[in-house]
Amino acid sequence: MNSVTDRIKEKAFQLWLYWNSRPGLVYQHLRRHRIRPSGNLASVDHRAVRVAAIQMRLMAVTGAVEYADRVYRLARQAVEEGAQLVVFPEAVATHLLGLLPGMAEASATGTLDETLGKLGPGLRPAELLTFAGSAIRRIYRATFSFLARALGVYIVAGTAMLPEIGTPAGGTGIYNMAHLFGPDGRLLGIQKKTHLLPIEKDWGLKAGDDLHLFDTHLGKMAVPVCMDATYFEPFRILSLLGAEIVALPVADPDEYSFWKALRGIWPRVQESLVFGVKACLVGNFAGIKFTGRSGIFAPLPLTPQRNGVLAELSSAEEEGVVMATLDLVSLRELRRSSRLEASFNLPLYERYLPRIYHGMERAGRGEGRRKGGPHGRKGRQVADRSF
Amino acid sequence: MKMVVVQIQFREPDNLESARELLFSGGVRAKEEGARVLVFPPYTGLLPLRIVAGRSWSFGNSLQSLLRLYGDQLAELLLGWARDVARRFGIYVVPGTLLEPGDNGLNHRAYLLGPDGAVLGCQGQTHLAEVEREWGLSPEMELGVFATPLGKMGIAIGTDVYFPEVSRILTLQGAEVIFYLTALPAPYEYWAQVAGAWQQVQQNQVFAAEACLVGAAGGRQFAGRSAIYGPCEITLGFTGTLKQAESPIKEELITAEYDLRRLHQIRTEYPLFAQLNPALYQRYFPQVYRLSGGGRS
Repeated sequence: MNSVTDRIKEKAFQLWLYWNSRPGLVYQHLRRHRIRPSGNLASVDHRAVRVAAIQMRLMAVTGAVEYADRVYRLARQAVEEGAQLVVFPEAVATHLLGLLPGMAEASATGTLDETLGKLGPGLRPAELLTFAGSAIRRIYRATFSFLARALGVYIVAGTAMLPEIGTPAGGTGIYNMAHLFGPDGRLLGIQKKTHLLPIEKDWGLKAGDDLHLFDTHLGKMAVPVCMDATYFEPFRILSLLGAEIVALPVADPDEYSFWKALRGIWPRVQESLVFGVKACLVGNFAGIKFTGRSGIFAPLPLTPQRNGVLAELSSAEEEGVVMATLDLVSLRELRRSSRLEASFNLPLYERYLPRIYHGMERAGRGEGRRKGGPHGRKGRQVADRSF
Repeated sequence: MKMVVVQIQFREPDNLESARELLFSGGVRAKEEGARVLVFPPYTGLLPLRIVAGRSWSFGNSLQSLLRLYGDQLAELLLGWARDVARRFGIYVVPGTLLEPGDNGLNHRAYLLGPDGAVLGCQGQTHLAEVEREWGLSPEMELGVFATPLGKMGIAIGTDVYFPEVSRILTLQGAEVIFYLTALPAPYEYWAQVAGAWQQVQQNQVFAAEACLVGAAGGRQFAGRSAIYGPCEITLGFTGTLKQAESPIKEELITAEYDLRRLHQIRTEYPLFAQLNPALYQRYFPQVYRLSGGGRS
């Protein structure tokens, strides 16, 4: 059990964190930049929606002001090029773990285990995020809300790994959540990541169990997160719900490979007929190397080179901003003419999908295991044809 | 295990022996390569149609009436040849596809034959493009997986390659190897092909053979590069492709090894399906498809 002294120290530190994460710090600092509204949303033409994907380097920052400056610099660059929607990468709030004393130095040189070990013996990532979550949330939201309003654009503020509001301190309800801010600075919605990396499960994160659609002046938007694009299901659902622009914050903890990277948003855009905006986190943090090339993708017929790419950064490791113009009118026409819906086979889906997913869920709970596990069902075998 | 994929330039033979020879030459090559699986592209069942019917044909409404007359004979020919090839060379054969007249139109079907010549399984095309509906094709409502000593095998025909539901259902029923039999419209588009079988392989962690029909057939032009695929992690340079035909318009035969142990290893090391979210899907599937206002029901 912690001693009284330890508890007093912890309480004092929490108060220090609270004081140093007050939104006023962010607002006061950003006001000094005398940001003028861009006017980029003054008129919206669905034939020419300007979107930007930010590629941002992950590095621990030690204060709210430094964080706000880093975000502002990239957002301003995008907005100056006409962006009406700016998409930031996954885990952009992770920078703020640098608020914790020693974290910036430890994360620059050590592995994740070593970094956590220096903060406290046996400390788990979920515990760390629970402890620091409130302070991170305040700075993160204040920064993006202020910038969306000041610049007058929509901002997908990447994601933040945070305790769900209402989760008791010390609980384990940590989600990786994308945030969408409107041009008036309001938080329009949150999308929890629905497919976690194995490492995120190990960290104690939880997966969301719903998908959301956001009706904006720029079209119907969705913001699934990174691994959600590995599987066709989220994009199929969102597309059928009406999504036209799908923003995807990404943090890929792997060496870059063109073909491995192609497995995410690119095929999802092709099979679901949506625009895709992928924003990648890059850099080294706590021994993990993040790579990726931010880009903006479209169904093949809507790209000049019929390769599904409207714009893509060339570097998988450097910061940058990539821009493209989306023609939603052409997308809607493509959807109408492709008549994808006429090809769907509802009886087939009704017959198989509930059963195979239910089987997986049962297998996941350890129920009803058969030989061969979830892959164990034997397919139809037919008798020999005689001639 | 090794498989051979034959990329056929559709040309109507002058006699039945020439059509039979097309299948047998694939068998010979499979034997030479030490392959155990031989895969052909779709519409091979139409190769002898002009000879059997004594008149030319084209894809369209007239095809259905022609096949009501000669469909059984075409099936007998193709499956008979395939049975002989399978037996003679002791291999598994997917001899392309047949268009079989059914109650609601033409069923587009592929068969898997074992080394003893027995039909191990039959798979119909489940999703149709608009043009295929105009030809009178009817979608089928079943997806099966066939257990063999060379792995659990599934088949996807034509347009099914572009519907991820098909490969997901096959894989979650146990498929380890999927045969995609495709006739992609010409002119050739590399990225349109990548958006098909290659990406299905990646999101399902399976091996696959894509057998493409090329050239002119029934008044249509087709182009594609047949290929053998695997998950990026177990292919050289992470390309996800074990072998691919050089030309999208010429006849070619490709061969590659597939190693089920490596597939099982990558499924263990990176259990892609462990991250699926069935609770989420059950919330939306299949009713969300009705929102599109379409679909066959």
